[in-house]
Amino acid sequence: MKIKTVATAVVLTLSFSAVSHANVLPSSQKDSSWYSAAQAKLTTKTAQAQAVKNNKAKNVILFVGDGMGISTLTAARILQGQRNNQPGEEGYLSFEKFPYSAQVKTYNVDAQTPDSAGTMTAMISGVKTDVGVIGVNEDVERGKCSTAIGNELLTATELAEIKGLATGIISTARITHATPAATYAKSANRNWEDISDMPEEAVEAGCEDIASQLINFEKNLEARFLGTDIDGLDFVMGGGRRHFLPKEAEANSADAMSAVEGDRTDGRNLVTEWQTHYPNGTYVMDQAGFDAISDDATKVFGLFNESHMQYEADRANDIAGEPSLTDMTTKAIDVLGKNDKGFFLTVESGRIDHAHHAGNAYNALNDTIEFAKAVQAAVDNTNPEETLILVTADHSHVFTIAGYPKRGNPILGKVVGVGQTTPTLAADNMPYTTVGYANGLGFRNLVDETNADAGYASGPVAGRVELNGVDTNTPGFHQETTVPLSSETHAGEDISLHATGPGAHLAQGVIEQNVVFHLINQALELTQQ
Amino acid sequence: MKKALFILTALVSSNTFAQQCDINAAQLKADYKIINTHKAQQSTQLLTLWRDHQQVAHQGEMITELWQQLSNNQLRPIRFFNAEQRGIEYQPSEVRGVQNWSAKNQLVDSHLIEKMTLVNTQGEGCDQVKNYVLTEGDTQFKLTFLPQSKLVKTFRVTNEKGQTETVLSLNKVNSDAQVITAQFAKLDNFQTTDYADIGDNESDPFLAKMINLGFIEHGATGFYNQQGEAIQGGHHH
Repeated sequence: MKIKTVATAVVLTLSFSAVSHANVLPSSQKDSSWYSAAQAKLTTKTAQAQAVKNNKAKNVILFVGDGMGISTLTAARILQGQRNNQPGEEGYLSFEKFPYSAQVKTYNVDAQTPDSAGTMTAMISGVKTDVGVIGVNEDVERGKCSTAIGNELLTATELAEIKGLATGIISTARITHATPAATYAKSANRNWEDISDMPEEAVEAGCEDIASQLINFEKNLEARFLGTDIDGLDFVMGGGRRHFLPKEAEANSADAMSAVEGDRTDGRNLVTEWQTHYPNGTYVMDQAGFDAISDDATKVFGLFNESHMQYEADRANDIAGEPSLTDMTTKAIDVLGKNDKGFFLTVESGRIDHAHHAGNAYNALNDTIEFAKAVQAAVDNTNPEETLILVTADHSHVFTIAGYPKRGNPILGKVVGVGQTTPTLAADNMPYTTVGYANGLGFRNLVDETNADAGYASGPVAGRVELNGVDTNTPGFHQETTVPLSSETHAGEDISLHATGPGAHLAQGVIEQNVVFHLINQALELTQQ
Repeated sequence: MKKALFILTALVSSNTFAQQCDINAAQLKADYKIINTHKAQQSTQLLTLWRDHQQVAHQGEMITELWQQLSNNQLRPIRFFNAEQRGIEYQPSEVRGVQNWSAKNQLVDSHLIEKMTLVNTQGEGCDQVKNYVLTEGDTQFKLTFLPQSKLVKTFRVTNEKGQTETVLSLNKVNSDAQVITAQFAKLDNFQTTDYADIGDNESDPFLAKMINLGFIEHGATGFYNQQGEAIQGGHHH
């Protein structure tokens, strides 16, 4: 009786409290659309918190925006909205609508500001390591082959293979570049992309170049775990053909730009080796080949460029054409989804990082928007109850959003203050852009040039430039910088992790980057085999 | 009569022979001296121009700059560091006014030659030269060009107001295909890095050093203007 009375009193108190809370607010506040939208969001969050949580997933897709720091997300979401004739600030990139997120610490074991090799190794193996090394722990000495032996780490991709899941890797960078390489390779140096990149002593000591490790993935993993029988990577797409082809003109692809496309000095043609090992597999090297992938394909290998694939804005200028990140993601889900046990797919947008290095915000944001489309394609093509989707970055860049521009001011434009119609002038009597870089090459006005890397043709221009008469919204505009460097640098601040699907609720708080692996592992039970 | 006919035939034959030139303009090595003068100060540089069909290289003391003409007509610049045996590959680019094949391949932009006035043509065969002049503002251009080998024999750019003068003069031409092929093969074996990847490799001692040596369009040859463009006068197109 007493308990019942107390319970009733509590309920009554809570009810009264809620009512009185609403009542004390003036209508100017509680009738505001900002207020009601935020209250609705809280209601959704409350329901989410009370829902039964499923920790186990059939599939996991890990999206990595290389160099996609928080300021990149903010600016990209504004640009996305402005392209849809909205002010921009109020919108969300597709994955920003995910219910769970965490703040991620990116430092490497030996570096305050990290690189992609160390960060991706942490995410994919659960162990932080040094700058510049792939798939090996911190006991390795960069560039010294013998120190890698015995310090190799097993990755989520390898564990998924052993478990019998379908596995895939996609990147718009070279597929041998640090981020994608960390999913399948072990290397004391991220730059050992083919044998011609390696010192002789490393080859003699038995270290294998990264491209070769991709082709030998099945053989190497089976050798490492005797008795294991796996079927190898099922979907691989990216750039970097030169690391797979011998240095012979006869091995050139049909759309080769160079007189000799391949770099390999050992005479091996890894593309034909792959085709021999997987006679039922499909190899593609251009848009036409991509479009012709049959519906029943279960093993696909695509290399679309000699080096990195094109920036999304520059894709139309590719000689033979190449698919977008969204196209590749959709195709991968289609191919990998045929495995009844499930799949693990890693998708990297590699050129956000390159555009930032070149000091070109347009391409960094444009590729981020394409990345968000690829994530949306994954959401649209998978069952949310069985697929965990994680979206994150490896590190940030020294990219800033500054000044006091008014709401809806073009994010790539010059700062125009609240209530103003002309650009705000700095103390030097010149206008300035909202976005900029703390270091790097600085100002270039290449107008309609869609390739950010064209900016490397001349040296750094640090400091202020007269921007009157310059359209800073064009693809070829490179923002001003403070510290002159030949290449803009990574930044050391935290990045974000966004999650949806089974196990997504575990992505919360401030976490070390290597926790990402453990989220994947928890969802797929990779280490409980 | 017969004797006269023989002499005439011999003369014609000799004349025909004199007009021929067996230098392959697509594959050669040409050694140049560049003298830059500013007021009383003078500096001298040596430059070797290497051509191998769709590749052209400018070899200086420390740096060799190479341009590859790609299948889509873009130029891919590669900067080689001779002592370190390393190279940096830049992105093929269509940026106007910067990437100009004729300026790289013959050291003088064809657009500039088109603007110049032909004074006269002298000599025959490989030795035939065309003399051009042009005055633009305070700058005077004087060019002696070898049309058969598409080489500059001498090129003088004088600015009296600025008291500057650049003189490029040809010392020697070598058309031994083996020598040319060997040189390009040597460069091809240098380890190269994409410029786009430098930002991820700043701990590499070579790349750190390279960063301090400047950029490709500033040129190892000194035969560029302050904007990093090949000397061509007037507006760039």
